[in-house]
Amino acid sequence: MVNKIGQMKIQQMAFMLIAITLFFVLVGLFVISIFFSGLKKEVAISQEKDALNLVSKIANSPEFSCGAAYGGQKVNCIDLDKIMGLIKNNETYGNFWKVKSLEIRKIYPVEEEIICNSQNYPECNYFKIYSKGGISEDQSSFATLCRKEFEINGIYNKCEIGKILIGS
Amino acid sequence: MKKIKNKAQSEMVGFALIIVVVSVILLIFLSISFKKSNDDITKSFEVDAFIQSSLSYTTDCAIQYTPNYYNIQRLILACNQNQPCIDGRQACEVLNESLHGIIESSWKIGENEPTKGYYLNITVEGQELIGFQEGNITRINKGSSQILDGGIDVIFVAYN
Repeated sequence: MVNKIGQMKIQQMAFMLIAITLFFVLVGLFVISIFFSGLKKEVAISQEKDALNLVSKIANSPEFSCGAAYGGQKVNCIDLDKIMGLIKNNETYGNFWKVKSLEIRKIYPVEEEIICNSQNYPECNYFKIYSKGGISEDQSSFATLCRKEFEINGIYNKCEIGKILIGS
Repeated sequence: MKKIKNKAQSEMVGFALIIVVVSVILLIFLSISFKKSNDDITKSFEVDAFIQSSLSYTTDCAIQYTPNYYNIQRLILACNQNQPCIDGRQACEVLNESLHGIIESSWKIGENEPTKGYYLNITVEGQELIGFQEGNITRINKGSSQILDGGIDVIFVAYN
């Protein structure tokens, strides 16, 4: 009789141990999944930040930036008139930014894709500044594309929305 | 014998109680964490850059004379003061049209697109001026908020 009670007690304890172990394993898995989901988010944010840093570095360099020519200092503002100068001299500037490709696309207003050259500018929307072995779009960011527009009554600043695409 | 049986029963009840209590705590914790992730907006540098570019966009609404074309930031204030463009259209009409166009071409939404939906809200001194939302609102989002001169507050969230 005592033997049976002892066996039952051992069985009970075994079940209890299994249940507790299972419970802690589940809780552990849950905590780990939460921890890693946060980590993934952090990595995505960090990658986005790195991409934007590179894009900002290029967009805000003197060769690209609007400076104070379009009413105050603007961040990520690209002077399209300067870009046309760069396209003309892309062999000289080719390796200056240590990237594989450098492009700018107007995204609004939406128009049919026309590659810009000195003949069709500003009636175009795709600026291929530099490309070394194919086109890649590893990193991109929104940018303001500004130029001086002429009208019968005078000159004004016209800014559109575009994306700067960098292949690194 | 009866005493031993009773003791085992009470132990089982205790064990069951512990499991129920822990399960309830776990459920509460789960529901709180999911609710929190639903409401949270992940700060995005891409959206930040998008808002900045959008605010600088030159619209085709000239106020008082040409070529005094207003950009989105100035047009928000003009819309708030119900100013008309020189061609007879209302500043708010042009603002609404331009913002829809900018967002639609910058954040293409759809089942096979990375962006499933978006939400824009512009307030001036706490009063909502423009607010719209398209597509589906999901748990994964990226957004940004910018406070500008004249009490303008722009919030844009893209849902992935």
